Amino acid sequence: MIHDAIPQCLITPNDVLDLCLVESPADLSAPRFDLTGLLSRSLSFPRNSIQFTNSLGKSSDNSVSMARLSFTPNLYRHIQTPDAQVTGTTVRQALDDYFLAQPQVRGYVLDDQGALRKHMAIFLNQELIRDRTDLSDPVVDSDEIFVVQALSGG
Amino acid sequence: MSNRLLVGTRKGLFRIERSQTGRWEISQSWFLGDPVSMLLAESSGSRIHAALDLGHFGAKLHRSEDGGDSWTEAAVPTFPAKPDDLEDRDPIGDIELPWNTQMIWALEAGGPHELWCGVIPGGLFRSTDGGDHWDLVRTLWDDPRRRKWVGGGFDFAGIHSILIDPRDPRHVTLGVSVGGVWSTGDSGKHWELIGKGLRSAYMPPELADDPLAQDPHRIVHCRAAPDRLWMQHHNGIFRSDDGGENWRELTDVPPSTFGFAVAVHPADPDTVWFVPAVKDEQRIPVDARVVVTRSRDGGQTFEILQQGLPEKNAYDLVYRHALDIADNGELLAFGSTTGSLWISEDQGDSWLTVSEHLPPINCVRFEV
Repeated sequence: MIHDAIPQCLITPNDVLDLCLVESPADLSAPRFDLTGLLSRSLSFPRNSIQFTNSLGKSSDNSVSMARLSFTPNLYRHIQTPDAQVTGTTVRQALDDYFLAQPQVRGYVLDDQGALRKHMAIFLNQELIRDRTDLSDPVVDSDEIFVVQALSGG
Repeated sequence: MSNRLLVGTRKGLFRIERSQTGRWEISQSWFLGDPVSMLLAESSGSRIHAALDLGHFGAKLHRSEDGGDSWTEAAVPTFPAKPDDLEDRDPIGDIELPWNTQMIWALEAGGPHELWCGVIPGGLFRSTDGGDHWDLVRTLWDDPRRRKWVGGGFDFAGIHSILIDPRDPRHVTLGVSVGGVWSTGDSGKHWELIGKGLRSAYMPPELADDPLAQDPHRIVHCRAAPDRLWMQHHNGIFRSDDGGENWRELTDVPPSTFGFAVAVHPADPDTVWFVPAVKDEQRIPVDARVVVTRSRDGGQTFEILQQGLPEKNAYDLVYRHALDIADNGELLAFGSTTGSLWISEDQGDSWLTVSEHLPPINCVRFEV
């Protein structure tokens, strides 16, 4: 659930279960891209961030795996994509959590099969995610997820 | 008489209106900067659908209930989950077929609250609640012959023509590029591949008359005589008098039988218009002159219409959905990839230039 959209919302048993299933970091031998510069530039855009509290009245809780999710400003012309704190132990779960409250955003980011759209990219803590199909990259507390357009051409 | 025209372009949707002085001018615009791949103005007059092709962000549908004063994003036809073990590839490109709506290519209103939508890569969707929900027509999608459809101008096949029989909206006929002509008599429960007499010169000779290998560029039917169909095919002009079962090719149509667009008079099945180009590997007007061809006798003879159209140095190509005729059978409009838009108030005898500076035009439709 997205806690900024539903103040005082409940943490469900599934949320707790998810906490128990936090995956260990996957194989890190795959090539990674250092796009810190791009990310920091992107993050410098004005952001329509929303503060929230969860059912425990805390903005963050060590017992709950919560990541910060934000989107490329390129989307703002088409659809509102407020930043949010989301729960989930994978990128998939984190996005699904967001889409619960913002269902129309889903089609802008994922294709009909639930994979990342061809020209979209997701950074997890300044590194591109590796699993564009199942979005299984693990997410842990305080991670930053940033959804961007994979622009090409000149 | 209709005095409003909607124009879907690569960079927005425009409304063209006839002023009291008789001039046709751009009066409104929406979605500026976004490609509009298809539009539909329902006969009720106030309901308009606009399909956007947002590229990186996918295909979208927007709907207005008040004639364009306000728009809301509506449900998009999407494919169900593709089974993991299913092998589904474009036969020519040997590319894995994406079960994703890549572009909305056809949009038509059927019975009450019924809408049909054709997309690339070849899906047909139906809504029975005015577009709030869409269902993939599985009977067609799961037909093993569908897997033999191939891409033409795009990587994957697409449904561009959806003809709904005004006598019975359960009778629907489709044009597929490249996949032939398909017909249902029960709103899509069963499908029949039709199209005897069509000829595809681009195929090996023994496959040239295979109905599945045909590349209709556009099919239209006469509203008053719905069994009369006209087709601009990849390699010629065809006519059917029996709802698309059998076709006859018309070859003597100067300056060319190649093109994309066709329009038929709503009350007279023998009056038809085409906008020709040189040929498939040279998609520009013959001699760089924009002309329209018209027959008034069912295709026995054609005349070339050019009054008011550019006579030289014109390289406008007219896409399949970019020619339309109004309900009165007098008004015609067509737009080009160069962003030129022309309107005729006398069945094509003469043409008025509305603009030469629009974005490339995908589709035009008169409003009721």
